[in-house]
Amino acid sequence: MRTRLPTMRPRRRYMAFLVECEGSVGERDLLWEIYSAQASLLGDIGSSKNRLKLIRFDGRYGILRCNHIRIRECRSALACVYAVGGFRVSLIVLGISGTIRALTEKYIPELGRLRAESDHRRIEIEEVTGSIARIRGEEIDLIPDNQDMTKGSDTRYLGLTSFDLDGECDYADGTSDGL
Amino acid sequence: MRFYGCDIHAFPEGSDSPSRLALAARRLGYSGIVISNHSGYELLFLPEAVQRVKGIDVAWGTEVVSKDQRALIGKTSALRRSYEVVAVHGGFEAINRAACENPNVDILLHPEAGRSSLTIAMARSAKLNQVAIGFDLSPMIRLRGGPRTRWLELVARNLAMARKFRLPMVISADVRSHLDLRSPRDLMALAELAGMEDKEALAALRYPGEVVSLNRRRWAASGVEVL
Repeated sequence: MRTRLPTMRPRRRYMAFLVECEGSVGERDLLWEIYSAQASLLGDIGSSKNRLKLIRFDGRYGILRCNHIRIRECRSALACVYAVGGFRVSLIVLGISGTIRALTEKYIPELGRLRAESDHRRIEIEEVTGSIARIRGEEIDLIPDNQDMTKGSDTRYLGLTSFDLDGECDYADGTSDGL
Repeated sequence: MRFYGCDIHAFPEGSDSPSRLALAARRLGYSGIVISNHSGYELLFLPEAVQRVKGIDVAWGTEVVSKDQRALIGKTSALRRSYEVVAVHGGFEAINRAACENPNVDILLHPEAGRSSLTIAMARSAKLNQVAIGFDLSPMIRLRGGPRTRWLELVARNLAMARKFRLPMVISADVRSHLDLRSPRDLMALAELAGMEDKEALAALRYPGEVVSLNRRRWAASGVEVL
């Protein structure tokens, strides 16, 4: 016998998100931060109505479940996550769908397209000097020699793009990223 | 939907170059950003590199910080010609009032920062001078518990005043790196939890773009355009 009628079952939405982070993020730490952000923003009563659950997380992309009419609250809770495990993060919502399958097909890209390389190349432009931490597409994270450069924003890396380097380096060796 | 992000601080004040901020904002769904460093940090790092970032419009603004009203009037009229958006770093009551009474000012950011709220006189003159009220949502993201409760209380009071006098509103998040950027929908969700209605939040995200397109036209005098 069915314990609950199908029409009485709460409806769900699944939310794909991307974790933009300076270090690596663990699943437990992330979940704890999301729950604490939610508890502090919505309180116990609001959280109980939201039924938030982390379905899957692979270190960069993740899937969350929430109630179908409380997407706004869920989004705000994700937007309130400031740091996880001592690293600054930002959670970017990629999309929302009614089934996990549709969500994965639409919003979670293949991991093979990502490239995170760490090398010892250096950048020296005007007052900005440092070594490259990683490159992802056109985005470059720089470890500045002078730590005061990132003072006031709580970050460790200086965010640059390949456009910055193209514009300044005459001695670029012709590679696409201008290094 | 043409969403514009404002109150964005680039290197050397924040930790990202303007082009990195433009790239991150484009991915989040903005059609433009206004990079406005506080006064004292005007010299940006490689501002010409943003022209290579396609698909996003980058406007240059400034956020005037000043201690007294007289200095504010001087600074805003000096900076008006060289920047597309002139915002004022609000907080103290005297500065809030001076900003509202100044037609050179486009946006008065976070008037609630110094625990002072908008008064009726301020709202009337802001309406007259077309000064938008900027709601900075970064305390909602960063604070927890008591301080956030007090902040929400102040914001609700200012919001009621802005609604009563139909002042234009702007929402922002005091961005200092690409990790501080929030997507337009996230900002809307946060603003709605803070008491805004969805239409108001939508208009608030579009408003900086309207200001930029107005200020890019050449005005010989108020109401007289050079074609």
